[in-house]
Amino acid sequence: MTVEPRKILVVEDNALNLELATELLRHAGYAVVQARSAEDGLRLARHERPDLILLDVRLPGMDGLTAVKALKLDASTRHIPTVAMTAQAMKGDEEAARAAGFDAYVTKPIDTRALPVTIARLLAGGESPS
Amino acid sequence: MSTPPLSSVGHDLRTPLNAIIGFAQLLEAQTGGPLNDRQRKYVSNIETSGRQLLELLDHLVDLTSVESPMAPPVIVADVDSILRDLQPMLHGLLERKTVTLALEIPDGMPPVTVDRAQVKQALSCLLRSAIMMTRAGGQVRVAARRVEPSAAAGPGAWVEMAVRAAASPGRGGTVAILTLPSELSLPGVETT
Repeated sequence: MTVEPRKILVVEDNALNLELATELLRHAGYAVVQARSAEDGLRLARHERPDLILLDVRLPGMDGLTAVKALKLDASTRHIPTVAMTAQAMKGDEEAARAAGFDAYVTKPIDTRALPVTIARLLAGGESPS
Repeated sequence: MSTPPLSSVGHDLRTPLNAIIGFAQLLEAQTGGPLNDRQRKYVSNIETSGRQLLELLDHLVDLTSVESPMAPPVIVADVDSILRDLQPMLHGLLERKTVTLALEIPDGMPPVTVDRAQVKQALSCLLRSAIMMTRAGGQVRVAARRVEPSAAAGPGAWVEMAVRAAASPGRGGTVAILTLPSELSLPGVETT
């Protein structure tokens, strides 16, 4: 029996950083769906039903904090674990991200060894008991 | 001349650093195929230099925060707890430089009357500098001592904190000395 890889939606406006996250996650065995804006990310979250969303906080147009609030208000996406990815790293940013609804918070430069561990932990926690 | 907000500068510098360090780590992990010894060394050099830039950026953020013109709240704090708060923030740098940090805080230090956040930032800058200038295997020491009232020190007791960098334990020179007023030297301040 073939097991479908878990699907992760990455929302990141910087092309190189989007490529980095994609390479890292594909190498860790995940299927990756990409978006360059929060608006596209929300649309793909509803259509693709990813298992987890990795979302940049500072994005052109709608920012990541607003996007995660929208995800948590939508019955079709509110169960999806979300990870904030930010280059901001100022005092109070993590609290703001968690208050907006993010389940985890990673700062850039992302630790390519630690991020897959964080994602695996969130995915394991998100699995139903059955 | 107006300067861009600190959060914006930090964000703009961290964004390309994410790609530099991240792709170097992917290459080092040989996710794109095997590397020979020389290629591995080059990639390791890229990652190390990227991390140095990140340390400098963090240092710059610390310094700029200290220079911000906000009126400092004066509160009473103890030096031991300020240093304990700082230790986790320095852990990564200490590990990378293979330098140890020794704290020598004798019992009975009087609480100091300072802006806790600014003293913490000042100490963070001093300690980062001391760690950066210390060779692998060396030690950075912070020694606190009580300074009794005198004509030179002024009325009330003071707490002197000396930061020293040493190539090996027991040796080395003083990087800086911070002299902080104790609650006895400035009457009528808010106590928290």
